Amino acid sequence: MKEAPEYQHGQTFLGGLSHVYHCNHYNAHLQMSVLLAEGVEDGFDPRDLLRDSATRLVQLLKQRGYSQDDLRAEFTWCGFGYFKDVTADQVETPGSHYGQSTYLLGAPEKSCYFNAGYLRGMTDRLVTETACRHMKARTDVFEFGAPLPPLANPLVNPPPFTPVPARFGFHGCEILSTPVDEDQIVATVATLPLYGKPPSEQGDGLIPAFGVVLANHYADYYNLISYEAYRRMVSAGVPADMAREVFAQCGHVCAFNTFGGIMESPEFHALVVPMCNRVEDWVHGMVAVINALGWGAWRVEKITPGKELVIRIYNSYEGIGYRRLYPQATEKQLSFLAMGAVRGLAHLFWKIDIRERPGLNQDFYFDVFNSQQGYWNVEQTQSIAAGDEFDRIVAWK
Amino acid sequence: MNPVKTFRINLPTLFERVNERRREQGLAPVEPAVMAVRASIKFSIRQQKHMNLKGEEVEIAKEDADALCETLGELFNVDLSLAENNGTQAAAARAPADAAAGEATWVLPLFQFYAAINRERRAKGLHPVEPAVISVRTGIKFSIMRRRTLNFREDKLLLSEADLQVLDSILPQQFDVAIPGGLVALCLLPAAGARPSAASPVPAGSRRQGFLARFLALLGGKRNAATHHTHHYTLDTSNLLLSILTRRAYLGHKPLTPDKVKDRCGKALSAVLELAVDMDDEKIALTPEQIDAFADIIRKEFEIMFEDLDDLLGKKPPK
Repeated sequence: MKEAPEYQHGQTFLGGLSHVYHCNHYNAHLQMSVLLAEGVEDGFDPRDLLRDSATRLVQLLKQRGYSQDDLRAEFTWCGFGYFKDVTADQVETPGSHYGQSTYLLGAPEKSCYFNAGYLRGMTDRLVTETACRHMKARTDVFEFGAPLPPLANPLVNPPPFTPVPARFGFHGCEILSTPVDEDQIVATVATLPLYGKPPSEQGDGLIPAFGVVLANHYADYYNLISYEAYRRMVSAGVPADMAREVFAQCGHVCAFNTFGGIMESPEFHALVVPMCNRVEDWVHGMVAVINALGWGAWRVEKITPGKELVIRIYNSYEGIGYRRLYPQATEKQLSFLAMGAVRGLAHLFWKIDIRERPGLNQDFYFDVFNSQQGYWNVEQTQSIAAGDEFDRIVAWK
Repeated sequence: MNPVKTFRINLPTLFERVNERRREQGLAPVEPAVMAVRASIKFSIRQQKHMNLKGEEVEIAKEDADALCETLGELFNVDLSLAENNGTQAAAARAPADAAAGEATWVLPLFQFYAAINRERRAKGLHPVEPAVISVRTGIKFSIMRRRTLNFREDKLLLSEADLQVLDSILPQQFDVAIPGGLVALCLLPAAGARPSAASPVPAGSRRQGFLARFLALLGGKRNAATHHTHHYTLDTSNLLLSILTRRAYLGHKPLTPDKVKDRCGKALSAVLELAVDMDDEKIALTPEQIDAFADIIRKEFEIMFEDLDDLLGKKPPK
């Protein structure tokens, strides 16, 4: 690795770019959501957005002095898999997060857009995916074409970071104590081997953990693809609440799989559960784990079991990321992942009861977790994107 | 080449229903014999062919059935306002004109929409997709393609034929499935009142049956073999209860007693379907439409999914 991770403002930085852990389910659903934008305007192809967004960030890393080897190493360390040269003009990914761990609900297509964009950024050449596991190929294959000019840096604004208050040290906090030791949890999670290993270390570049496959992804990649797709959908006449919902659903599926997987894991039961007496403590325990994911600094403002859950997020990767890309927003409900994740967190405790370890699987998600019965409402009342100090997400039944 | 669909119409029932509509409007009933003669004449002029409407039944092609319906409407003032207190049948009475203009409005029950997608996905060995995901993804694609929105918060969608075609094109793209015969095959009676702005005909082969066929079915006319059968399915009550309990346990729900399940099933059937069903009976008989509705009731009441209860029709309980 060229640089060691830095932890600041509740976020994790590698090569100057914010990184966040997300699961294969989130990545699959987010990519599908972006692809929905096909047809919103002439000349716009969401596949290009998915590819180009990766390219732009890799080009930024190159400007920071990353070599091709550095980029390959980071690709693997972040859990995206690994590249294997086939010929001078062809590589394959024997290990691939997007090729092996994501999925499409629609008709199969070659859909390792991130990998193609990453390779394009590495080489400054046109990259075409010529074979894909999603199309039942043995592996994903990419071919290099003509040289291409660099793309523009999308991160045009400085990040508006703010100081993060102590866990109970902010005005409006309605919870003043819990036996859950957040510092210990964050420190312990940081020791988990949540990175991809290269073949030289008997790895495949993937990060299987908690029943999902994680990637330590570029936060700005998520922001670029989400907000560009959202903006174009709304401009084309898609109702904003509908467009918002499809992106928030990605957070909801993420909460179920990743939060749920974590809370059913032996690690969580060994480390966190002994600290918990009440359901409120479980919420604090899970939020402590979230604070190790690079998503910003989550603070629990209020819990009324079974009725309301209010979370603040200081330096949320979505809010900060939005401001790096665009001028201050005029709408507040733009932290899609956070909205879906907070709703999902509430569902994990009060739509089902994750403390009873019900066993999470697709059927359970389909029949219970995401059924309309007992669905919680969610709203973002404060938004860094819109100029507020923090994101505030309210979920209620 | 598509076979010509024919409909067997029970004439006394048809005339009786026309008179019911007239009474609802405060109009005097028309003697069936008079109705038959006048309709026969008018029909002959309109269609340049003779039809004897004095008998018990008549078997006619769809085109003629549409013409007959219009004839009755014109002659006996059985227009849209005749059945304001019965939206479904009023809409059905109006439907032929809509259909003829190619501007039909179709009613797609959302539960059937979700269930059909997942039935096809399961048939392909794919995981089901939860309705919340289907609705928002379909809704967005539809908005982009049609530049207007669908309301997935209702129990059903009101669609033109062009809308249906767009939805049919979305399904393979988003969910890797196509509904056999198209979504029109899932549609119920035409909607009352709504007239979609755009329209283009559904390919002939994909149309399940015309408005009049459904209207006539409502009026008690018998359908020919080419149309949808109307018969009852029998659900084994104890098998149903066992399946609900098993499915809930499998999904980790808090257990319910069989009596409680029985009680809630009975009340829901009574409240929603207005059926007096004794859940202590060994079997209960439901029409296909009631079966679908009952599956929806079970999904809401017990938070479990039986797509159409086919699993319980004398077969083993679902896993």
